Amino acid sequence: MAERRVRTLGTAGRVGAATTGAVVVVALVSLVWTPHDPAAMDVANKLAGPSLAHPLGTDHFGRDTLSQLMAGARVSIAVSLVAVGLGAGLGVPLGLLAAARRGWLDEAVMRLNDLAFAFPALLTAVLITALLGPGAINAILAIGLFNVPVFARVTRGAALAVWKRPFVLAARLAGRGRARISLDHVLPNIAGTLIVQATIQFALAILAEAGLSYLGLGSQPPEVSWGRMLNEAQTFLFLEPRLAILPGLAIVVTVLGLNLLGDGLRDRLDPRLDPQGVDRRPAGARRG
Amino acid sequence: MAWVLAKRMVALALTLVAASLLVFAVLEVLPGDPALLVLGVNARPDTLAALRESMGLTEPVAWRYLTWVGGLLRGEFATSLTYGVPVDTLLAPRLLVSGPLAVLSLGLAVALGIPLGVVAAARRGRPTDAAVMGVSQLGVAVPNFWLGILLVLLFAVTLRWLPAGGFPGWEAGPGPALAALLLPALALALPQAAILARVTRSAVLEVLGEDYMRTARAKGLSKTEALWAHGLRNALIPVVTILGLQFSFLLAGTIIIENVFNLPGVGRLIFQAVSQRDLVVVRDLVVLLAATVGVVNFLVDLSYAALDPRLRLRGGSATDG
Amino acid sequence: MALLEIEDLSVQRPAGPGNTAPVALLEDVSLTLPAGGSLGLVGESGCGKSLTALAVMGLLPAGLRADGRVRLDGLDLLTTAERTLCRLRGRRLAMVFQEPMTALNPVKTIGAQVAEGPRRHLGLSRRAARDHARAVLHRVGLDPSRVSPDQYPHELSGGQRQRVGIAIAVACGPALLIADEPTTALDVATQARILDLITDLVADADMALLMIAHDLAVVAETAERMAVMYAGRVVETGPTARVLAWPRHPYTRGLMGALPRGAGRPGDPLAAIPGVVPPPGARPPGCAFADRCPRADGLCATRPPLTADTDGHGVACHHPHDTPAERQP
Ligand SMILES: Nc1ncnc2c1ncn2[C@@H]1O[C@H](COP(=O)(O)OP(=O)(O)OP(=O)(O)O)[C@@H](O)[C@H]1O
Ligand SMILES: [Mg+2]
Repeated sequence: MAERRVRTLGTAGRVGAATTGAVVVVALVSLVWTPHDPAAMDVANKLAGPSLAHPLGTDHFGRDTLSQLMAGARVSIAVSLVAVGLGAGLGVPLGLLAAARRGWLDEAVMRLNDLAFAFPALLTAVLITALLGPGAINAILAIGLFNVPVFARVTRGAALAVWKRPFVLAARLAGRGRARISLDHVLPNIAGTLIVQATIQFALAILAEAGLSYLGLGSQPPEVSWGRMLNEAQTFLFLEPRLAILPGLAIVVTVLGLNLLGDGLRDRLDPRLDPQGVDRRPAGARRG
Repeated sequence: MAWVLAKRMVALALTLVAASLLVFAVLEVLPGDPALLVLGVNARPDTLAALRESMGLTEPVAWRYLTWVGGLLRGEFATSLTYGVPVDTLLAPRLLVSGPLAVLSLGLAVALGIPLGVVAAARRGRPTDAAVMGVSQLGVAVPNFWLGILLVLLFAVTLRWLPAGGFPGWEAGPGPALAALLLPALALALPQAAILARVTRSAVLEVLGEDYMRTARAKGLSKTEALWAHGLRNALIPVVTILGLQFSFLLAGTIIIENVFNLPGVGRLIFQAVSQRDLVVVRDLVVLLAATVGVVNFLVDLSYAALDPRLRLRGGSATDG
Repeated sequence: MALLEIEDLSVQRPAGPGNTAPVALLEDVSLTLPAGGSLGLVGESGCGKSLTALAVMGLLPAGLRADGRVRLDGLDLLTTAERTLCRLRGRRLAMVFQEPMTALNPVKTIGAQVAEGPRRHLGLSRRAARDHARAVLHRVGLDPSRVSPDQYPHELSGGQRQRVGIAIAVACGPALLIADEPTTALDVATQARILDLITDLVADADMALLMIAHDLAVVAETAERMAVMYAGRVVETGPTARVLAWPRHPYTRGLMGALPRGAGRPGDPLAAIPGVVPPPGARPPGCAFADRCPRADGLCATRPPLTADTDGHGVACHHPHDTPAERQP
């Protein structure tokens, strides 16, 4: 009975999946079509309210807000996706290795984790920008680096539990190497946990990207980004609050969708959740 | 207890050394020539040479690191490249903005998040729970700087109750100063409160299912009494972990929020130093921030021991009865 | 009027999102216990012993509903307001739990945990409650010179923790003490000492004792009367000596066959009876024991009523044994 409930995505999860899907579709569409060129200025038409030509109005340079939002989705998703991929690509093998080898390697990974905790994402980003200058690539690097220890820690924790399971012991007794076991037995068993974590980190990355580009440290013009739209809109807050509200809503909808999807996936995939819906993971695991 | 304390302090010291090495490596070794990083590739050779001299770049790397860290430890800071004053002179007035801001936001987050989480857990499955969970789900998704803008829109632009930004200084009296900090603190605190409420709720739910809660009820305590007397302290253990993490998010958050509200704080100083490539200020501030985070996590570890006697070193060993 | 009268107590999980039909966990349980008397409740794991105890305490897990009557001193606890129940729990009726390792709050000293009841029920000052707790802990065998009331549960052994659990239960001198398998989690030597302590305390203070066990030896030692439960029902009840000498229900006989393995873990199938207890929701409409019973026939597809003889020895079986049990070797 409880079993069945746990195996479905749930209403909230489905809403999350649909929202996320919609944002991704909008981002993909923006690659081939937007109502206007998002970068095209039309000073005669600046700060115009919603109209048939500009459903969401225009900004202080007369750029079409809807087109900008669509293009912003593309940047936001691309940066976050690559950053999380970077984090997972480095963190997961590191975590698997730590769990398989234990000993000094494990210790080193854990200490690295502690160190990473002393540098919140934004601080890392600021450092990297100090070094390399602002830009989308550097935002990806900063967010991605912050994600490495998160994935390493989650992978290690989940993998350690799998290593204690009987079928892994059986495989070891059958003389299979640790690397093979890690790939054939451990990884498939922690995939659910990792997917859930990736969803959560994706949401956090969207927030971080928005924050960096708000500060002007993310992608640079003519590339559009939600964060910079907000920054520019703040100047016209008294005149045109619409410009400050819309990009924020876009961020919230995207992050909310991802979080709901993550919760739904967790109920479905994460073995560490008991049927009562109580999150039994160490609290630190939730926010990464 | 003393042993645990000593171990933690060594770990803290090691983390700080590692953090300072990392910052030094990233800012002063990796770029090859920091002077070039500061002035840019088009700088004139003689200006570059002068800067190298004044930054002490002619010295060996190890010596430079030791001078820097030794200075920090003795409280002697280097001189900012752009402001021409020692970093601590820059820092002191800004700490008086960022410090109260961080404390105020953490206080607000705790005061809102923990009670909401407890109430949601106690009313699990009922409308109150659904409302708290719904609002917190939203709160987690809202970027703090956008929340800041919305708060300005509502309280400064529309209602005109609070200033939209800037800081009058503490000389203006605690009233105006706190009024200037209130909106930024709220913007930082609300998303954190949402996270705290969720963590608290799940921690309390977990505790509610524990056997000792039933023992407490069997003594004659009501549900609420049992929750306060026996549940809360156990539930706080995971919550404190999150609090430690949140503090570091909060510190980083001040960089962005101080920009939204135009507050002359440490976060804004870091941001400006980065924009102006003032490496001296950047490295000092980053290490100080990392140290603050390290110290806070150290305090979190200590508070575990205060909350949970199982983590204190035990005295005599148990014998069977 | 007996101290505790349980009449047709049923506990069910109402239909909800997880289960389409209501699931009966306890059915028509009736038990009585006079003041100062003792009653043993036995049965395999999952028979509903703990649920019976929790229903009496009014502490059933959330989502379960109890029907019938549970009278303490004539007051029906099932219809009594929660506020009144809070005044009775710990004062008039108290309970010792199965798992000493988890039943105590890890972050409070044992003294504080014992003092809590007396402070609220006996109106003692903080100080007086602390002294009282000290005395009670001493009484249950935790000499303050060896085990300080300022110690935490994790510093104590399993047996010592169960003593603390007992101290919490008896601290206000309840009229009814419910002990739910208080020794199951302990090693054999400690088990005997804990049982001695409970019988001693009960005799001293003239408490009534409801002793729950899955081990007949425990009941034989501690209870004047006993009831055997199977799949949420009472299948045999009577004076302990008589039931043990002349067990009439085939299930009781099976349990006795399992007696020497008394130290088995809860959940182990009984060696003497093949098969397992049908889980709630999968119980047959007739006698629930029929599919494991050597004497079952077509008649057992109807539910046997619990009928008692003149000595108060009752059995719910269509084919009860009518000869005394042969002696165990
Ligand atoms: N909250 C609940 N929801 C649904 N079923 C429950 C619940 N609590 C207990 N049960 C079921 O009720 C039955 C009786 O449980 P109970 O704990 O009373 O058994 P018991 O006789 O005390 O066994 P043990 O010797 O293991 O302690 C079991 O089958 C159990 O699965
Ligand atoms: Mg039980």
